[in-house]
Amino acid sequence: MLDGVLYFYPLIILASLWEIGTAFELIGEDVLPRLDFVFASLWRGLGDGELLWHTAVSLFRVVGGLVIACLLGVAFGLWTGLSKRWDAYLMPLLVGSQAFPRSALLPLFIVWLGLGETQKLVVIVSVAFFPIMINTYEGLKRVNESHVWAALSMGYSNREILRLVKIPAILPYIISGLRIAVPMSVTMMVVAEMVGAYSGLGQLVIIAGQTYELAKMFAGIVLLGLMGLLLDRAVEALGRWTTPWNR
Amino acid sequence: MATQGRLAVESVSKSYPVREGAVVALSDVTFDVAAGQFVVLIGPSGCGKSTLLHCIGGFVELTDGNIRLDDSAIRGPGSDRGIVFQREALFPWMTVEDNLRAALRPKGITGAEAEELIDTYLKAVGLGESRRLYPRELSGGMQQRAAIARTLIYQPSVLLLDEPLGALDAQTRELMKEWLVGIWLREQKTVVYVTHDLDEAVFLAQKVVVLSARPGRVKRIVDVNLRYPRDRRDPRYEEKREQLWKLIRDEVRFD
Amino acid sequence: MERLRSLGPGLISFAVVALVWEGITQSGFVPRYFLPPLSTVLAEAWLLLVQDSSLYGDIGISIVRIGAGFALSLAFGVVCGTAAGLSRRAESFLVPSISTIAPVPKVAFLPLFVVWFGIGELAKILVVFANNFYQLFVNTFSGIKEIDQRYLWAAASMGFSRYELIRYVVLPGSLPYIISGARITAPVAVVIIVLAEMVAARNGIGFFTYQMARDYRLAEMFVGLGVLAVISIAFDAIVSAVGRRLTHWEPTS
Repeated sequence: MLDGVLYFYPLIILASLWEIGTAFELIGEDVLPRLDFVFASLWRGLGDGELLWHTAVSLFRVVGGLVIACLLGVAFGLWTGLSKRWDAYLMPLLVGSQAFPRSALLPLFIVWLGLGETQKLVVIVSVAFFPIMINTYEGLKRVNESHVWAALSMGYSNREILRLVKIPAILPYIISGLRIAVPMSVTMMVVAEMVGAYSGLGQLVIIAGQTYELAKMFAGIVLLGLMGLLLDRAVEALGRWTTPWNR
Repeated sequence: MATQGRLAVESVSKSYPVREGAVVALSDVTFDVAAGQFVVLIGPSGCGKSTLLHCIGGFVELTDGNIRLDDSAIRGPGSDRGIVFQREALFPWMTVEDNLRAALRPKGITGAEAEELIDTYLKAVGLGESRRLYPRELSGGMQQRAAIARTLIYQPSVLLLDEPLGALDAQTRELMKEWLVGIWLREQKTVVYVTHDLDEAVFLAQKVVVLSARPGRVKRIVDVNLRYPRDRRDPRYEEKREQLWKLIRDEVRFD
Repeated sequence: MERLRSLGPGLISFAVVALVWEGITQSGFVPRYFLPPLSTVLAEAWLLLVQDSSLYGDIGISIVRIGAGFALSLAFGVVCGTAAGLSRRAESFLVPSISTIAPVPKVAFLPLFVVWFGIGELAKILVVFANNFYQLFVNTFSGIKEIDQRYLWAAASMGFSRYELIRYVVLPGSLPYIISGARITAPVAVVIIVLAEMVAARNGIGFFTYQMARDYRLAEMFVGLGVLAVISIAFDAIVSAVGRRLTHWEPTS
């Protein structure tokens, strides 16, 4: 307990400086809101449901996007990784599409899909898909040949070996692809909500900035941080649960 | 005495295509293995001894020649030949007992019958207590014993061991050698064993096939007619070791 | 020849995509306001990039922003990472504070930076800095922590001074990590600048692309996309080349 407090001592110092500086008006409220106002805003917003609603919407979008990206990424990774023929044709396309800074596709998705939920999901999928797909593919390429041979010796067919050997072998790769995808997805979601949305934490933060409600803006930032943390830990837990043999 | 597990390796050649032409790994290799015999393949590193084992396993296609098991030519892998690799032979995502269970499933052995077999074989390799552990939680020697149990349990007539003690420390290796002799004497199976360790060859083999440096050819076949368990203080033991070392040392020169 | 053959299928794929793109748009199967034909995009590119040079202003300003943000994050990341790696006291202050902010998506700070510094250059450069700093800090820090203890012992027994220790052991030892951090963050800097220019800018190639999309001038928008891809690839190539130069003793993969 004490160890934990000691570890976070710099945060306590910084928070105290923040609170003292703003409370005694050494720092103007147009620069930083009082820290207690941030927490008050957080408390109020969660209590009356406003912040809770925005958080839920954002979380739904990210999780939905990640789930779809995961299904598509694993499917494409398996397809390219298992088929020699398609590998040569598909990989250059997929790697080539990587060269575009995918954030630049955001306007295109707005033109094509409008500002609705489909566009949000597609934006998130477009960034989360690639790390998951490439990791699935890499994982397949690195399946230990001796495991395949051992299974062949036991009398398993190629189809059975996919389930017995290859799928378990690529699980850790999928999980680490997912871990890379999480912060990218959250970032894209925030911007998608900033440039065109009627709800979500990204929209809340940018509106609060435009109306100089800095306490509310910081409340949104805190919630986004918590969301990022929660998602990362969730993927970590998913990894422990699906791959218990990895330590 | 075993009646199955006779191997005939007949003028086997193997070459790999590379950027320019091909690398010849094995060239015209011929030897026989009697049913129940313990044969060690030895040679300098890169001589293709592991490749030869993989050919017998049916994992690698021959460029030329034939390998026959009990008079029928080998086409691809089969459960009549079980293989154990140097390391990470077990499926890391399964517990020890699940690894053995997986080895029985293609044979259609499940339920109480499977459990009984698993019990027997785990006890035989001294891993009864560790059955619920993952391979990563076992020591190197335990992992190799579990891998051998997983291979024995589906009753192949030939055991292919690819430097099975190569990744172990020296003391564990000593113990494992003695343990392997015991297992082989009890199971009465044909063993083809790849190593570059001379002492393993003399301690274990009835017949040693010495391969030359790349491309691997049979340089000499040496019979070791000493009684098991072998005694290193026996002058004939040292003699065999010397003989093998002389054959190999010409092949492993510093360039 | 062998190389050419291995490139074949990839080239075929790209050709198929280009032909399908051209075919479905020229035939009217996909309306032009939805997707302009590839030939129109290419003609537009000729117009915008060769005949007319007004786009280069936007391209230049974006490159300056990317470079400045990247350089800032590299400088601060390496300095803070080195401090934390060498001094326990710096570590105990920096690591908890930096890792607490780490899970926040840094683009969320953009409105705050705009409130602080207006819509000028600083806000956008700071967002790139905020986004990339953590990776470079972590890489530098763990690079130093991973230096083989025996190198430090060897240096100590040779009688190195503290400066010599940092110059000849710590820096080269952690350099591969720093460079891999730089390589990871280089394309991210482009991604973030594009986002920042969409949210808060009046110029820049990201702003241009966004603006063209809003006006449904998709051919121009695709030109912007292409330019961004070129910037991203070029930036990545430069960072990789410099990195290889600096760590010439590392085996190249």
